[in-house]
Amino acid sequence: MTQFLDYVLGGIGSGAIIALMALALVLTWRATRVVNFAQVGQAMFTTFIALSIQTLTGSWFIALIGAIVAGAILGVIVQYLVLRPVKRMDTSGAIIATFGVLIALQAAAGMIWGGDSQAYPQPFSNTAISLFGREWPLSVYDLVVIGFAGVLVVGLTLLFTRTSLGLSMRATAFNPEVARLSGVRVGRTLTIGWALAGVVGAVAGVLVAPTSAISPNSFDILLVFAFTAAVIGGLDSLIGAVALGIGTGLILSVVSGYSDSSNAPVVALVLLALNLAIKPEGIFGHNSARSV
Amino acid sequence: MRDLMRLPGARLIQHALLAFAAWAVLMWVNGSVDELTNYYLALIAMYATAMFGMVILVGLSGQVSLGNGALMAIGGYIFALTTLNWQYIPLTSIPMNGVWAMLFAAIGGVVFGLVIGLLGARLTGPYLAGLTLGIAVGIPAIANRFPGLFGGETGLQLTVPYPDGGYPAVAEASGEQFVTELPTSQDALPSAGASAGAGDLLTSDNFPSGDASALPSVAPGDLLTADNFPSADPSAMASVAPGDLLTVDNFPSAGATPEASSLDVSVLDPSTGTGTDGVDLGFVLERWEASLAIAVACIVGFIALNLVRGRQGRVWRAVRDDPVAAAVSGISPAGSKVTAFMVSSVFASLAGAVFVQILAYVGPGAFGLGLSLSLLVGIVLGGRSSLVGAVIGAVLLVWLPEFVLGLAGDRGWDEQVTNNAPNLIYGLLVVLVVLVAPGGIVGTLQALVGRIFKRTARSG
Amino acid sequence: MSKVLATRVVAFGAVAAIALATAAPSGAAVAAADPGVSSNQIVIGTTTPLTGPASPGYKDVAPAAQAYFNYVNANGGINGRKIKYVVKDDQYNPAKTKSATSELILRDKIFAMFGALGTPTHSAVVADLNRRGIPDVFVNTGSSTFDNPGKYPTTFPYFPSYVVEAKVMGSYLLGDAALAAKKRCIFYQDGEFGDNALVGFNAAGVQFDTQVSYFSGQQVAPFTSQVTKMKAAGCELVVFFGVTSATAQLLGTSAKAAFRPTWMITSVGSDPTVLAGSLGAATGALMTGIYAPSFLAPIQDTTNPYVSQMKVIADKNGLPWNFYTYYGINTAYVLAQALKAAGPNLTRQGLITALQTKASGFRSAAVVPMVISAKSHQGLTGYYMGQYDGSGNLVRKTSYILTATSAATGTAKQATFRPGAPTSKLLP
Repeated sequence: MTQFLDYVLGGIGSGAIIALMALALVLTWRATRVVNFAQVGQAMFTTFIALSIQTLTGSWFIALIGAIVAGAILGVIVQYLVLRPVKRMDTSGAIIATFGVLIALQAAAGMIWGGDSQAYPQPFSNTAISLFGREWPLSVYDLVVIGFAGVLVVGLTLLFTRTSLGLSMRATAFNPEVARLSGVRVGRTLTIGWALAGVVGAVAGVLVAPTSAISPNSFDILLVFAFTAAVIGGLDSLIGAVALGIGTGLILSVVSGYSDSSNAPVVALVLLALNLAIKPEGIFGHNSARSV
Repeated sequence: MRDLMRLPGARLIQHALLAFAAWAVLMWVNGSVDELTNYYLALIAMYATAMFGMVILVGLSGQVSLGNGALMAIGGYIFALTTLNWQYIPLTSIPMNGVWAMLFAAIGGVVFGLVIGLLGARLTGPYLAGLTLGIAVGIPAIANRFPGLFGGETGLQLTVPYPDGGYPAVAEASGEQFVTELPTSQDALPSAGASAGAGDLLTSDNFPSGDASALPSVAPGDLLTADNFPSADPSAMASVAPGDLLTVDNFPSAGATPEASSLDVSVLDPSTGTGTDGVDLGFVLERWEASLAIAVACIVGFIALNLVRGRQGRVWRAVRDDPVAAAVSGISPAGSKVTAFMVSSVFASLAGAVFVQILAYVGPGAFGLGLSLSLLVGIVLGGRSSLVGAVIGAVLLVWLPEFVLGLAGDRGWDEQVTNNAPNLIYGLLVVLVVLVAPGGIVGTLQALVGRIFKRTARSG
Repeated sequence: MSKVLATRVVAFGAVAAIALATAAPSGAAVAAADPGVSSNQIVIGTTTPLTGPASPGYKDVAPAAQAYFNYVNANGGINGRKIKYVVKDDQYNPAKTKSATSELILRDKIFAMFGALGTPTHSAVVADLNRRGIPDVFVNTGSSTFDNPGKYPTTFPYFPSYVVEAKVMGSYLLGDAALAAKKRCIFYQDGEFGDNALVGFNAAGVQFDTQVSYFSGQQVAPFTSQVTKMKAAGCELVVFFGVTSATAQLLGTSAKAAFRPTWMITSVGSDPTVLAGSLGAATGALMTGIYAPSFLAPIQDTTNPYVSQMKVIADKNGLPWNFYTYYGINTAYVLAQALKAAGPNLTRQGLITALQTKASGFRSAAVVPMVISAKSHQGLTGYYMGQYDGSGNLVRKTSYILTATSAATGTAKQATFRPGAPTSKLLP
């Protein structure tokens, strides 16, 4: 039982990262109805930028700010150059366009920073916390990661529910034409959605880098898990992305703890298939996902 | 003439003639090009086979799939496992061969296509993408999970059933693999004439400078001598007494008796396709691979033509364009989607079975997410809703990487730039084509040609 | 009507374009004695991951070999022939390896394959290379499947197989009373890599209290559950059989969990320079005391004339001085000697004969003997055991070496070997 608790706690840290990346995918989906395959590429790129800033200034915090700014800019650039020009891009076209961006970003990062794994400095203590006479598989750093995820979710929820910008973003996501008629500047709203997604992805990248190092391909697997979490959660739901992201982390941790780790992806696939078979619109999704 | 075309079966004959003509032309090309082109032709035909299924699934039925690479893996593994493990078809006395294995691969494709289709029929857009992405990642992971059966990450090697006159089979393992006597030291270097002793060390001072192709500027007089040989001789070398030196007796046995003739003398010269003994075996491996792939592609293309231009094609299009209207007129939208998945799955399985024969290998690394995404790239760039688009997409998948490699080339850039340049150009090109030609190359050309014809019709 | 017509025009155009593109005439090559050799050039090729997830570390091997060949070419080449080394990026994808190898054989007309990297990737092409009689020299993998002269008469692996390495680790472990007394666990990479290790330890008579594995490519969940499991089991000695990027995660996660067993790590998973890249400032502290086998002279030992000279080549070409660079230059050096030994009248059969009969005399930074015969194509035969000190340097623990076979039975045996001095200025 204590071991189970350890596996669960150990999974929360990695789950929080998956949750943030899933959150970014949900944001672009809500904004433009596009699943952004380049999201992990953007996060990787901004994390490399952060690493350069960190090396230059020595400050973890300045590097994080740098990543956030770069994330927003990169999100806007991708949306502006790649997705805006084609008004009615179908799912396949959008996937392929963002996939092309992903390949290009990874190659560009390889050109600029080289293909090797690079260490990202650890800003907080990353040793197990001792409390109540035992060591827990959580560190101060894990708590920071979970804290960031929590703050971002609460902040985004407030933004969407309590501000006029959030209202217009929701309106645009629901029906761009109607939103335009009611005076929403749709183009600007979409761009802000992408910038927000870029910011969330950038934060996720900077947070995951100290525990896994960074290379042009180091976030690839994150895309698969985050996409899975976002889809099962229901692509429209912020809460769904976070809950399922953390859930995915837990499942991976518990499965590799109790059985062979090579079972983890297979279990993830089975759960994904079962979930979509039972609830095609995702656990937290609206009914719009299923058409017939 | 027009009446003749309306006869039942006339379209079937027309399609058969078209497929046969394509086969004849491609086989003529296949017979008249060099081996490397044969190989590319095999790949193009194999990709086209899979992409005919993508046209039906993505273009006609309007479903997105990131998992067709995994469906290819299913066909590939079924082909490999049945040919490797079965001498005879179980419960019968029919000897196994490649054709049967392809048939089993196709059956496997039907089954998996049905399962995935049933799961996916209720899903749309990104949810379907999520499911198929899971399949693209999960199915190769299953091969990793059960290494005993599937060969794990290393994969399985195939002995492709070459027709008579093919390459000589490689001899079986000769058993004994190890030399028991190991030398305990290396002998001194054979005295190299003028150079005095063992002392010539390469240092950063005497490293040849500048152009690598130029001869070294170091004159013999500049050479280091025994005096400046590093005094700190590695202890491992210094500590051994002269008695430990290699002698004739403890020299490895292989040195004395060169049993070098383990190589088959009649190895083939790849540049001519003939044995080195000059006998023309009349068999080129790549040509055989291409013949196989072309035959399968033409058969699958024939089936696809009939489906696309027949009633089923209209059903798929109707469901894609307006599922509600289709349902009202008595078509089952879900059923039509499942059918599309099954057809594309069979095509993918057959392509996978051809692919493993080209590779003579099957393994999860060859059928990863990258392959699934490539198929989608090919179909989006070529043109989603036309079989011609599938063929163009297949050509692009083979030609584009070569093209960007040529573009990036060796331009004396820094190494990490040169290594990554092809990928950067490839990614940007994909984005560019999607932006410039959202309907793919065929869709855009159709629009262009259509506009020109409209203009000429108006002016004429 | 016009739409159908348009479709047909497009279709015709497409078919015509393909026919034209594929029917381009091929350059007719003049048949020489063997492809890839002329009076002044030898063409050799390789496939290796230069980009993609598997490229960190491995991408340095081929450029290092290239640097050595450039150096040899600058000194007049081998028997008057310059080496042209064609490197193809396969991104560790067997399908791309197949295409790249076909291009090397059919377009570049290589004389020999050298240093092709990876077990799954090479599995897709090894039969074809052998069928064509192309020498397949120093495959960069520890899989024991490629040492099989009966099946693969032209293939020559270089470094000892993973089975050998596991036997060496097992024998050393049992021979050291303090280590043998510890509660042992093994953490390995799923797939053939880990399976080979288990075969070797089993043959050496080493049983483990707990076996834990990881799925290669698993990067999001940094081994938290595996470390928890080992810690809960009370492991005191952990043998790790995985790649370097995984080692970095393992050490980091273990430090976080205050799990501090004695580590024994496979040679392919313990390159200190690459680890330092991933672990940053903590590298020295985390690596102290780790046992690791090696077959090359310690990389930081610049008093060794092989190491110092190879480092010169790396430095002059701006290459990072890590195990991969060192290894790449070293194998290129051995290949150059084999090509030289094959004589001025270079043929494929000549190169294979030279490797089978003269390998034990070839110089290299390896401190274990290289023994190749017609019956065994496995190059190196064993390891010494080392231990990392506080500055990330591997210190040799055994004056002897441990040798073993790749067979599923038999243990490692102690032996001594005194390597000879390098050739003049590291030229063949």
